[in-house]
Amino acid sequence: MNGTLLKLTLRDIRSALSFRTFLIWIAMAGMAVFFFFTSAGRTELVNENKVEFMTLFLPQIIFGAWAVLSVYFDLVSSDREHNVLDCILCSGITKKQIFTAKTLTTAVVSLILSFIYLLPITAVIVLLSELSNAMLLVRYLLPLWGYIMVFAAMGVIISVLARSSKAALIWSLAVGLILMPRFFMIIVEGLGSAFHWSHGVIDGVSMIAPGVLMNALSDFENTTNLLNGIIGFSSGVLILFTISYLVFCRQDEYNYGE
Amino acid sequence: MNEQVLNVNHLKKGFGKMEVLHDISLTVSRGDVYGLVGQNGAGKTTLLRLITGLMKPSGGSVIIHTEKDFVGYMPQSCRFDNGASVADTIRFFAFIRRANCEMGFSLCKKLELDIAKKVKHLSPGQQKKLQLVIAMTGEPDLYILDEPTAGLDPNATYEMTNMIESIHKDGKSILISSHILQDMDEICTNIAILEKGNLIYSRELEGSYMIKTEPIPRRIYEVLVQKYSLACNENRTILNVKTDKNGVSELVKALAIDSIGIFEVSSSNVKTIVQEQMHIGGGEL
Repeated sequence: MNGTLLKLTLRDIRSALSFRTFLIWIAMAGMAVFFFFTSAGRTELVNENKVEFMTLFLPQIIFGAWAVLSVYFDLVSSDREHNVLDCILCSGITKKQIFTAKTLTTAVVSLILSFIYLLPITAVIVLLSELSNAMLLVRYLLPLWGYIMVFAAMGVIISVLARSSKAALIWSLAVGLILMPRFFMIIVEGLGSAFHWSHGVIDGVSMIAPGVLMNALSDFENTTNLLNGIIGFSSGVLILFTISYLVFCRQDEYNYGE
Repeated sequence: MNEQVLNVNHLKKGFGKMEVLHDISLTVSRGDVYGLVGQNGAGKTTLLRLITGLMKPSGGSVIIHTEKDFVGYMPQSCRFDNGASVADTIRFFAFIRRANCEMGFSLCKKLELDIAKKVKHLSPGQQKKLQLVIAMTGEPDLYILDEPTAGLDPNATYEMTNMIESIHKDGKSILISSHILQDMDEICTNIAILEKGNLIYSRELEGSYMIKTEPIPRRIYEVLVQKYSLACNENRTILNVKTDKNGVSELVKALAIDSIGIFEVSSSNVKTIVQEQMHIGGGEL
């Protein structure tokens, strides 16, 4: 039972960590280094030995949703489209086992992606300052992992709902655009002024944006924000995975090709 | 040989208000090769998917009586992981079926399928062969094959048919759907015809005879049907009878006594059954 789950998970990890994934995430890490030098990040570090959140995560704030969704949008839809899911299900494997393997895959791969993103920028920071700044990697690894997991859970739900990789890709692009933190906050502010929301409500709704949550989660000094971040990420991931699981178990298996 | 492997009872399937399968019942026994024939959209793939459990029925039930918890399912088309090799794919499925992968490797050798080759480099025919090897991994008791010869060249079709025959010789049960009636004739022991979601014909091929006659008056047919296992077309000009050679002779005599003209007596084959039941011509649906 556990061996089977491990085998299924390893297969999914192999397919998620494709050449495309590495290419996108190495580019993201490269962008992080580039933005660090071109923004005030380097100056602040050299002069004040301080690293601002935004200087580290600007590429994530702009492209994060797409970069994460590009890894997970075909996690289920690809197997379904190619009828491999049918062959696995007819081999005595339950949907519960398949979904558990997919969930474990998102957790492991997201951690690897966080590491890929943070390693080059941390190395640059250490080279420019002191070794103790290597702790930045530890400080931001889990918040970034949580941030990626929210989009990963969205990727899984898209992958379950869409019956082909092409449909999943289109949905991912649309969802990625809406969830870009800057764009999302503009939408929330627009809704707030249309419905006369107070600043408190607008701030609260804005917290749904994973980028905003990640900022809160990496702010260890502000306990309220940290707690909000943890609760926001955990409940978001949990709700999205639960919906995906329930939908997946109730779905009939067929694809558009048939 | 009468041990039942699969029972389909009053199976129904609908999508919203549209019902695509109506009250299907059939039984597959050990060693049967059950051919499922029907035009495009008749519901063959849906029926096979319901049987495998990939789809949930709107009504009725499917009971599979096999020791193993998996079936040898071969979908119409399947593309395994592009980056993996044939050997990796076989190892993966052998592992999740708790089976030995050596049998899969030897089957590949027999089918001239290079196990070191990446899946993405396989031709469509080789992909089909790999699908069959995967379906055979772990030697399931029941095989469900959806259009196994579709899109194959004559040589690959011949090899595929031989493989299916070898599965049958091992005493396994097979439920197979195909458009190509000639293939079905070579391998099937039973035939079922689906039309617009209805099972319009289901019968064993061995010991089945077809008699073409003048139109038989209803009262005479009703007498005959009490004595013989008979089925007929709308005009009662084609009889399908399930009996032995003596039974056929008796039936022919009975028809002659009633002054019914007889044009042809022959063993039933898939092509003629389908042509008569579905009022169509040609060897492919």
